[in-house]
Amino acid sequence: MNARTNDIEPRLYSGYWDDGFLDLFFGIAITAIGISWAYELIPLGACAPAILIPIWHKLRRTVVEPRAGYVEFSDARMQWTQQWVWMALGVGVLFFVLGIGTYLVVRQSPPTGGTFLKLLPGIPAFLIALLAAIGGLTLGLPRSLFYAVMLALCGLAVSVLKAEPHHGLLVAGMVITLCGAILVTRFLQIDVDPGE
Amino acid sequence: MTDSRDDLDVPEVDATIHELARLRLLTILSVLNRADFTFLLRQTGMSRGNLSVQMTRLADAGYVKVDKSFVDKRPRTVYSLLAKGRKALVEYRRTMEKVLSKLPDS
Repeated sequence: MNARTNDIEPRLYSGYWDDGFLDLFFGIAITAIGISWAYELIPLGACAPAILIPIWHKLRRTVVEPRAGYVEFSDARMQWTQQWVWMALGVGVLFFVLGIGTYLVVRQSPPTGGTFLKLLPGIPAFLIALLAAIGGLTLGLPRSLFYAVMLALCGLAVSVLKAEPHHGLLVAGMVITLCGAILVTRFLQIDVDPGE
Repeated sequence: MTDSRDDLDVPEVDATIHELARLRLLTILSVLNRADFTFLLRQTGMSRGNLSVQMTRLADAGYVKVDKSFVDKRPRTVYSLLAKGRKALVEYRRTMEKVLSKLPDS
């Protein structure tokens, strides 16, 4: 019996993330990046994920597991997820640094014309959208693809309206935070299981 | 007089697995490394008493391994499918496919 060829395992794996904490923290991280961008403290915003990940990990253990239970997925699944997470992290860090760098360089001495340059303010949102899409595909979460589309639209809106990059990040971040908060609230209504 | 089962040529199925609740539990455990009581409770929607009885039955049959421990001062019972259980589940599937193949199409 192959754990990857039936639809039970993907359904269980997708359901593993239904507590909403991941969404909440993803939204908070994007909002924090947006706020730090607004105050020209971009490196501080980049630290947000590094601070939030250990908190999320702790909450999973203390809040999620007593309600949803403890599970270890198959070795194949964990290996597959790990590969994608590392790839997403690598691509994310590379793109984020490139994105911020390009934006800052171009802002210092703005060249004229070109579609790419018009889209420039939206690049941070586009890059985070890409990360959300990779995350959604890795974890089997359709709502993460919705976040990706929303982030991309925010990036596009920022570019078209000639707004600042943080405007798009703040709007998308707050919407994702709200979605996460709703999911978490719903999840916390489940009573803690006292065990067998 | 011959046994009616011989006449029908219906293969014997594993009675331990041939019960919907236990089949669901084994199916879930077959795609995971390990899962605790609470996880199985949430996934199956079974009552605590029923789940406990069914898991004991599976453990007694040697299909499931039970690990009891305390995590953050709370009891945790973790189950994993043993090789014997996996083999029995594969065999059960084969048997049921044979049984079902004997059914008329309409």
